[in-house]
Amino acid sequence: MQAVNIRAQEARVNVTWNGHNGDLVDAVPYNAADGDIRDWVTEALRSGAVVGMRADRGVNLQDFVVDRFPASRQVPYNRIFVRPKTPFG
Amino acid sequence: MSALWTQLIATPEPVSLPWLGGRALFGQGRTFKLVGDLPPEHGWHSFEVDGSRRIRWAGVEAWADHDALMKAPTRCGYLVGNRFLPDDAPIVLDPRRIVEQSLEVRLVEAGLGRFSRVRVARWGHTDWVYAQQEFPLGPEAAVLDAYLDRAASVTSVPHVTPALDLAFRFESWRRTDAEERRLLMELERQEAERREAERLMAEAEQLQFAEAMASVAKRRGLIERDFAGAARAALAVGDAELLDVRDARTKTEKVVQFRFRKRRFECVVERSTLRIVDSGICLVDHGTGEKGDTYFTLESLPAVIQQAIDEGRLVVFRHAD
Repeated sequence: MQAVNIRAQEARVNVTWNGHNGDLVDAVPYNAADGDIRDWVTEALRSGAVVGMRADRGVNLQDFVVDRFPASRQVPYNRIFVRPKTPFG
Repeated sequence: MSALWTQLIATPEPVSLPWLGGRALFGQGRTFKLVGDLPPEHGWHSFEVDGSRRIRWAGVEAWADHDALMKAPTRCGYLVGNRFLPDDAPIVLDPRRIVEQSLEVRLVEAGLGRFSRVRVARWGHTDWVYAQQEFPLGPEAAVLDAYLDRAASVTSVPHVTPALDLAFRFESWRRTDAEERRLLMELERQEAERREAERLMAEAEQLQFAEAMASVAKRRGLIERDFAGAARAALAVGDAELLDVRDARTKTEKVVQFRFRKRRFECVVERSTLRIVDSGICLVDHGTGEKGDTYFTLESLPAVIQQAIDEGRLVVFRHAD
């Protein structure tokens, strides 16, 4: 069932940028600081290292939110979501 | 003279006997002890007797000793498989009681026709051995026709003996039973094939789902041939469960219903990218007029909903209930 190899203390990073979605190729520590995660994702987006997304030199994720979803029965590994800040009505 | 006598008693005498298993062998009114090799299978074999009660297999099969069989007590009747239905036995016309009403016959000749009339001989103390085929009494051919025509009974055939009637019933019952078993086996085989096909399909779907969930490229690649599968995998990334997908009014969009945190939601996505067009919840900053729906995709929308729930700011526009 599991198609990726991510250890218990790690997480897959999913990023939503400019209406597109992609994954970081490498897993990151699940308890990494939000700032570190934003920096890694920024670097990956700028260099085009995010699977499914084109390189974008103008990336700025300072206002982005970092969500953490632990492993579940359906998804057997931790996930970290990096996404735009949400304007709620 | 004495040398000749020694030679006479030492010369083994060949004899044809039915071997039915074991080392006790009946023949010539005596019971021999079989020494040496055993024959490879039950049947008539040639044995060598050296004058004592010891007998040795000569290593070859032999013809049945018809004269010896006819000297033994014999009975006439009908064969059903290896069961013999004697003419002279009291018979209850119930195929389920075939065993108690019949005798087991050994060494039955191969290729006997159905409802053949045969004679069997008592061999030793307990065994009955096939002896020969007998002339039919008359109704056998008509009974065979009734069997081939699948008649329910042979009451319309004159002069049918109870043994022949029971043979007919037992053969008919055996045929029906074999057909039912064959049908049952076929049904079981079909059911097993169906289950296996379902299992393989479920495995393939599961693998495709796992791969799609683990890779954005796979998810997007899946869109063209299986939009629902791509949407299901994208939602699963954020712990949401796809409920339904339908076409939107615009060809380039799809309406997606999903369950998240035990609640149902509905959104509209761009078909080719899974980008949110209408999140179904309020993502508008009323101070600036900024709309946030298109910032997200199916993967990240559940996290946004989670934040709205956590902050008590969830406003649902589209209801999937």
